[in-house]
Amino acid sequence: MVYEPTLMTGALLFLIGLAMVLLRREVLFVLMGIEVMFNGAGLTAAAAGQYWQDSVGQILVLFLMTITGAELAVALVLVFLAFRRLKVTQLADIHALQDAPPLAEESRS
Amino acid sequence: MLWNGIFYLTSAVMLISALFALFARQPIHGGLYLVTSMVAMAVLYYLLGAPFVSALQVSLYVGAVLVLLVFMMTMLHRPAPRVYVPRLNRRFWWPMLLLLVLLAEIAALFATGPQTALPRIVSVGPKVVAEELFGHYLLIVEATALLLLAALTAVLYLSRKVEES
Repeated sequence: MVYEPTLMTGALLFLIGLAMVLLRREVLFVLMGIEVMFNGAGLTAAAAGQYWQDSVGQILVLFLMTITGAELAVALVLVFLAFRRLKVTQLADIHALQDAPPLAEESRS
Repeated sequence: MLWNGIFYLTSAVMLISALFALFARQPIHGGLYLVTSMVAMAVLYYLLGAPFVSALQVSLYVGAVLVLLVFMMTMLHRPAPRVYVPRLNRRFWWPMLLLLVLLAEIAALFATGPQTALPRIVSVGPKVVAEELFGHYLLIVEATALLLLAALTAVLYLSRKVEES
């Protein structure tokens, strides 16, 4: 086994995920890009754990997976709220941080 | 050598399916390419001597994360979705230039650096991982549990507001 191709694969996967975040406009694709970036980081951590031949790299990957799950759950609820309230799926259309005026009247009634 | 062949083949499958996910038109196609990429990733974890993480990759990413994403795709479906596909205009080329610079840096870094040959792959099983996890890293496990609880509370609160409105 040569160590560098593993690291390079992780770096390339991270780069593809970054390209998904930078080039796509839909919120779902941006979230997928973040997942791909997490995968690249996890591959690097697992390769480093194999380099030292102990379990610390795997533990780092486990924490990474848990945090990814928490992040994705909250982010998907926010995406769903953006679709439900603002009827948008594009990232550039989510620009109203305050409630829209008809929505504020709904919540008052 | 067989290990190297499987490793390079799986890496190629993972990177190519991730690239296809980058240029997919429909979100569900992107999700399927992402599934392929993540299963290939599980094979890579196994090849790197991490069978426990490999199993968790399948059950957590493919089983939970992708199911969540596909569920959200079905919720967000619109009759005529305005799908943006990267086109060759100015908004495409500036991020692409930054990415190409990063790619060139990665290529230069790994082309000039020394090659470290590991003698053999040592499989680190679930028992060793669990002993380390619930021994030395117990505090971080508790902190992660607290983080998950906070995320659960946030999700429940936000979805309750959805039902009210």
